[in-house]
Amino acid sequence: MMLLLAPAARAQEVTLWHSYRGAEQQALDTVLDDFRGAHPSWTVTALAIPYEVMASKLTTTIPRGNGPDLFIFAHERIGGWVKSGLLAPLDEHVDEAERALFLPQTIPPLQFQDKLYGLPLAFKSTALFRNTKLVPRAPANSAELVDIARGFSREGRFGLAYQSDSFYFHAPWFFGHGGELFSTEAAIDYTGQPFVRSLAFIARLQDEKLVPAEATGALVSSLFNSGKAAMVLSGPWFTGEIDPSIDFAVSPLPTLNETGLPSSPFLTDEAVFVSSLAKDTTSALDLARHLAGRESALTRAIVGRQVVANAAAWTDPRLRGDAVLSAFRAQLPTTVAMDNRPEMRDAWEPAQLGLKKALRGGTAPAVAAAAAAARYRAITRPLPPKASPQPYILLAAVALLAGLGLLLRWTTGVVRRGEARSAVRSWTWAGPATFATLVLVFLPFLVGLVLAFFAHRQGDWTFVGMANFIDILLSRSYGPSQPMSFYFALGVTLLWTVLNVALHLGIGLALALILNRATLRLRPLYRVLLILPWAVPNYITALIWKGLFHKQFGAINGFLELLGLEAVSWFSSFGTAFFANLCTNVWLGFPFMMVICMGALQSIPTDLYEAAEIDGASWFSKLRYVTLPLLRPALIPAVLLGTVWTFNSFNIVYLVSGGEPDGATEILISEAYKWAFTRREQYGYAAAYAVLIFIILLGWSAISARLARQAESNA
Amino acid sequence: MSSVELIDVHKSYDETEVVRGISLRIEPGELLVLVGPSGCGKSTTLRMIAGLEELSSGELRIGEQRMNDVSPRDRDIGMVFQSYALYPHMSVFDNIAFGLTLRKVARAEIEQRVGEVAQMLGLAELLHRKPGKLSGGQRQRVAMGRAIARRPKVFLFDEPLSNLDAALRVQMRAELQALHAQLGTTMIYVTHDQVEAMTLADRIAILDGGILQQVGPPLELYQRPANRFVASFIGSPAMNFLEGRIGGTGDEPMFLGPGDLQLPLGHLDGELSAVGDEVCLGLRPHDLSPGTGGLSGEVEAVEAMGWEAFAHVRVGEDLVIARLEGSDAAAASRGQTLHLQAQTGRGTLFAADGKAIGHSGASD
Repeated sequence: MMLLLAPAARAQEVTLWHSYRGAEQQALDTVLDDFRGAHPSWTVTALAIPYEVMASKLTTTIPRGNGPDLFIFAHERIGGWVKSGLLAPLDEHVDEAERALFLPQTIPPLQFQDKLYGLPLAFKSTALFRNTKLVPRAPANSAELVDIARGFSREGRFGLAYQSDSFYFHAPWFFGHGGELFSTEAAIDYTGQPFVRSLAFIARLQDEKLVPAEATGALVSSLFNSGKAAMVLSGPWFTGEIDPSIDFAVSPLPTLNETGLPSSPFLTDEAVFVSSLAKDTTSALDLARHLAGRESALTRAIVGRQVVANAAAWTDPRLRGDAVLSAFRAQLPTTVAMDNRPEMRDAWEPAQLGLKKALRGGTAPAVAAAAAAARYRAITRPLPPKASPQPYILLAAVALLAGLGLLLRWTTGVVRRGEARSAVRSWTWAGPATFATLVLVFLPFLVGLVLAFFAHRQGDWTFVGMANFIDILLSRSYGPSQPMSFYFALGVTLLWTVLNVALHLGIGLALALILNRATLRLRPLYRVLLILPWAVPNYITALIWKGLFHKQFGAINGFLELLGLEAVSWFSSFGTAFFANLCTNVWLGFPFMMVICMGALQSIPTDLYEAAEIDGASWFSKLRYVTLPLLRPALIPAVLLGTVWTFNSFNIVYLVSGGEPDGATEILISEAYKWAFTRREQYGYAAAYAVLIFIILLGWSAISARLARQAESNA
Repeated sequence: MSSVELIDVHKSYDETEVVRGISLRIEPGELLVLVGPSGCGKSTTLRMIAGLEELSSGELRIGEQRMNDVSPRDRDIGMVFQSYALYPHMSVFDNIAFGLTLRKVARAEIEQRVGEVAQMLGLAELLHRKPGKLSGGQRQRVAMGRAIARRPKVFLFDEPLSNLDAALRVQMRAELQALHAQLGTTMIYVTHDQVEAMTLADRIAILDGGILQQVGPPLELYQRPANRFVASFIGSPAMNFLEGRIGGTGDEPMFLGPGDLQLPLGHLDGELSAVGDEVCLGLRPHDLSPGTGGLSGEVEAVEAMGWEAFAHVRVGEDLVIARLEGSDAAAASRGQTLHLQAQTGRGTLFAADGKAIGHSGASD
């Protein structure tokens, strides 16, 4: 009785989801153990969910009531989550005084439409890392930064290294040139001066080779750790990647001389959120408060190396004395919080496009910015008008009735012929497979087909009838001859398919002919080596080839330079980017054709060749009149299959060129993917793409079935 | 029409010597049959002539020209394979025309020549068909047509009839003979079937173990075999061999065979061995007939053919085949004891090493 009455001893269950690993997870565990110690009757369960899948897991589990009570995540998705009803507002529970416990800049990012969601735990932004041996004193302004960079940069060494083609890292230059989020309807005013000037600024640094081109995170750390990069623009996570032998320091980013404004990086809050369906908001909030509190913050800062949001924690000498954490703390006043409205997410792809276009060289910043604006207009295409579903429902009903009619006719036929018993037995055997096919193939297909008639915006589905198809086929956003239009992508896809299959077949056949020679030594060894490209998982191969084609550090350019040729910026023009994709896919695809050819060659009797030889055939005539015609029956199905595979070979395009430049090398399937997953989740539009792809391949398979039949009757 | 000449030709694969020194000249227009048991090197020899195998040593001449290093397509030969080796994806017309097409013969001439060949071989109705839709005999004709259409200097046949049934084989044999007579081209024909060899050949070359045993017209090989191998290979049923020794006197030598068999050998030509030497007497089944000639034994099997029959008689260690006629043939039965006599003046005498040392002079 006594226990039940005591408020501190309520028996509670709280579930917490997070994406922490390593030291951060260790810190969290310690903090949670402290809480459990203070609340022995509580059951606190913490579950680590990988960062990449956290958002989608939350969206699917919370509305169904099996999500967590609390979760830790970045703040930028708040808007979308509030609209989907995933978050509980905390205004009633967290008053002004409590909000004041946190660093003031960390609270606004957690507000959406004047309501507070979540308590800030830590924050992240980029800042300037420098190798103190190379750069003893931090640059105070951009002119100093450029001077230091000029002094250091030469062959293979860079003054400043960062992922320059990512808008997240580019943000300081945008804000430094006076940029603002949502100064227009779009999150970024692409054609405005700040964006254009920021492009010009960084393009100049790259032209001068002060900044490496196409740098990835891995490249940045490797340059910094080998002393080939004097400064790095990165966030707190970068400290973990620095080699212990490197002496480094972190400082806030310099101000821009042109404007006198600070180069403000993006600010991301890491906060603890209460689910709208939390079993008990009050007790969930109790745990949230504990996590965000001073003691926990100290543990998270010291053990987990987090830049914590709790203001009181910063009075602790251990935090104040920590140069790295203090530097990020010092950067905080000059940051711009990532906007938490869903519209913010539409801004990335166009910004990235403009950035890459400007950095590639040969394009004026204003032109690159205009391309970004055009891309923004295309992906934020207006919602098509709502259509009446009635005619479609009628059509579907007629189709359903017709199907049922056919089924009925078939059934009565079976019964009339007295085959009912054997039909039932057949269906019993075929039942499991039929059921699996229905569930795994037919239903998803049907769902995809239905989706194509809807438009999706932030969780809302609108029935739009044929509008998606019409938009795609009329190529409304871009002219038919421009990248991103259906026809351009279709053309690229056809070229891609034809060239790939031709090269797969040509190389596969040539190698099979060589391997088929009985006199060849070490034949089994060659065979294994040549099949190897096929055996390696294709995404690994794709990433390797992407690396090989890197502009500054790729082996292919290295080789070209060794020959005294000029390095090629492979992903800057359609031809070379397409070539890179093609090389990768040919490398992956020829072993299949080779194996098929080897098998088919074995089945050609040798006396046919002898007869041809006596008939007067040269090597080439034997190939033309004997080998090829006799390989045909085996090759036709392989070519048909290869065509379909290549037509839909998403991995290679996505991983190697990623559609660069400007989406020109995108094939239909990767274009569809982008519409579904990177352009405000326009699932309906993407589904319409998928349906069109399906129709094209259906037509192709009808043609190819006829070809195969012809080949068979000729044999 | 060309001659073909092999001069001390050898062929080895790694350690194994398959052909061991064959020298042979085939005259222009001749039909030579290469015969021998499986693995005797006859097909290899033919393939070396075709150029499908290289010679390990020796020389090959076609039309008096050295051909060792000439590729098959430049040897101007036609070849018919055992499997026919028809191009399955081409019509009969295209199969026959293939060699001409490759040699860029004018279309009109190709059509004329294929027409002639098809007429000759009875293929005129089948020209548009694919080989898969033809019977064995028809495929055989197409294979020949393909060789003929190009009018090569030499035809090579590699067991061309072995995939056909017995009746068809007899018919095709006759057609081949007619064809040879009509074309007059040099032909080299490989078979393991001595009947084919006997009926087709102008001359037969018998091979065994990669060595040429004897070359000559069929009847010569039949009547005057050079050794026991040739004697046993030619003739059906095979020759009987009776082991024994030379007896009698130098002027009137006798063969002392198993049991009480004594046969005078005076009629045989050749240098007979000395008295007392171990020899072997070869007698054809039709040289033995019922009678009291010193040979007797139990009948183990009877191959009845109607008017004639072959009785397999156990004489001591040996199994002897005798040809019976008329009532003797009808009366023969398994288990009976049969007394046989050898016709005097017949047979071939072989020395202990298998070489023939005496033949009966006259033919029957």
